[in-house]
Amino acid sequence: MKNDNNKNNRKSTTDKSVKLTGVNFVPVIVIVVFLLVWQAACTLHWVPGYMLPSPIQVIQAFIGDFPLLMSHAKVTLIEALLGLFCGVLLGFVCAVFMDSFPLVKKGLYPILVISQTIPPVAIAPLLILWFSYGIAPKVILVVLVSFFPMAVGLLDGLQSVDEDMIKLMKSMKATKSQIFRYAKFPAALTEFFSGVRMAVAYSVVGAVISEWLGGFSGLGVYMTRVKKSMAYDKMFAVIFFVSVISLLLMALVSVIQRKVMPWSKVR
Amino acid sequence: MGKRILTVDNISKSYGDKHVLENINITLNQGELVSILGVSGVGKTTLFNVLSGLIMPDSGNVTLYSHNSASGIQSSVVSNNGNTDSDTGDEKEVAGGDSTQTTDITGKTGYLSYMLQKDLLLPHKTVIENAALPLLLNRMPKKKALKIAGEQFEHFGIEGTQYQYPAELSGGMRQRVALLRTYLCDKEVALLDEPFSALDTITRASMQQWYIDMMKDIKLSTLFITHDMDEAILLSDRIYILKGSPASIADEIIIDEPKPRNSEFGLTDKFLSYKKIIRDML
Repeated sequence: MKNDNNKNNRKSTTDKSVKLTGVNFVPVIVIVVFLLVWQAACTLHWVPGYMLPSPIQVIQAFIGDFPLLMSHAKVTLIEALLGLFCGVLLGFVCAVFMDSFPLVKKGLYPILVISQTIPPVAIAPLLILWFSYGIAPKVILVVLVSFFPMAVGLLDGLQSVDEDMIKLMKSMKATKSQIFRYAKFPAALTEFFSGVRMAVAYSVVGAVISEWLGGFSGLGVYMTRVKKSMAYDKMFAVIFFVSVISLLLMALVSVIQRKVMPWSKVR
Repeated sequence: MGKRILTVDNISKSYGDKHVLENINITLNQGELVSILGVSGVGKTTLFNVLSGLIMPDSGNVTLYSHNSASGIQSSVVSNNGNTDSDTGDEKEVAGGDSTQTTDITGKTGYLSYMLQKDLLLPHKTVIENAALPLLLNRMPKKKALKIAGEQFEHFGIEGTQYQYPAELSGGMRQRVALLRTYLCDKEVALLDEPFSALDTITRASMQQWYIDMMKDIKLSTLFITHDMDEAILLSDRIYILKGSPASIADEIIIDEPKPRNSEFGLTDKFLSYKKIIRDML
């Protein structure tokens, strides 16, 4: 009987995934319709051309400036990934400490939450004031924005482990580090990866924002330059480029997650 | 009956003002299955937490008489382990060729194996890694641990599931894996806390029969918590009735029926008369 139940469950999950891939076409259609309307609005002059470039103009701008965009993207990516790495590492250490020592959690957690109400745009000028126009203020801002989703996500994951599981392992004389390695950390992996995915998105945005406020290269610098020269087609091109970079990085995290967590496919 | 293996002596426990357990006395002999029967919330799990050493009782003692004469498989596990934590025995006496070690295990973990109501299998580990968990926690090399666990799969009726994940198994199968894991803890006494109560009725009945059949070959002394009268009468040599607040042992009933039993026993007058006695007591 139980076996039958299981089979039914599996069947229903595959049904669901079929449905899901069906659903995924809907946003694609919406985007295509949106682009068509946008193109029509430009070619039929519903909106003055200097205010809104058409999608085709945006693509032309992207292709025209492709080498320049790539060289700026390289700088932004280095800042984002360096900051992301440090932020994830710091968030990880912080989460483990908060999980192991309740007092640390009590003291640190509310401060972490409150700190998130400070917009990164507000800190960026300060960082530039303190650390000048080089790569340092950008990386630090990325660390600050990517650290929080990591720390909070991982902490929730670590504390989601069944109390009874810990009880059972204690009755088997497991040490604290064994409980962490066998039960807590694997249970937190889902949250860990959601945290990383969120941190990835924040990190690219964070790097771009800090570049706006001062710097010599990077996509944020490119953005401020094209804005000043009123090149809106290039402006749109770089905006889309930034979001594509974020999406690709997030997809990469999902691919790694599937590789690292083979059991999650079972469900 | 076999020799005494576990004595629970005058255990009392309270949480703040709430008196949970009062003067609990239990004995367990080698190879016996003894049930502790009581309604939900009476304090059965608290009692097991005390016995397993997870919480300290306010008063009383738990004493283990280790005979080192476990089944062949178990002793091979012990020798492979290279880790017998009963070295700390207070006194040694030689009885009938067996050496008996008396150990006060009050508030000490790692002497009894403990199985909870939930199967508590780690979702990210394969079935065989889950079964071998106690060996791995004991720092046995992984290859060796998996080999020892793998040898038991057929006996536990879970052959072929080794490299599946727990989520792929049915409830009954998962419980068998949890039972194998308990067995591989390689302790002479197992504490089973309502191991079958989360299963549906039909699966539960087949698991009980399977358990009876399997216990023929395994010399394990078992304390068994349940709130199911039928299960207690079917499986036990003796039944302790736990009741009241604070909970105490109201009575002890000896089920005088040869083992192994089968489900036919559940339909006899004898079974029903036991059931009537117990019902009147609860």
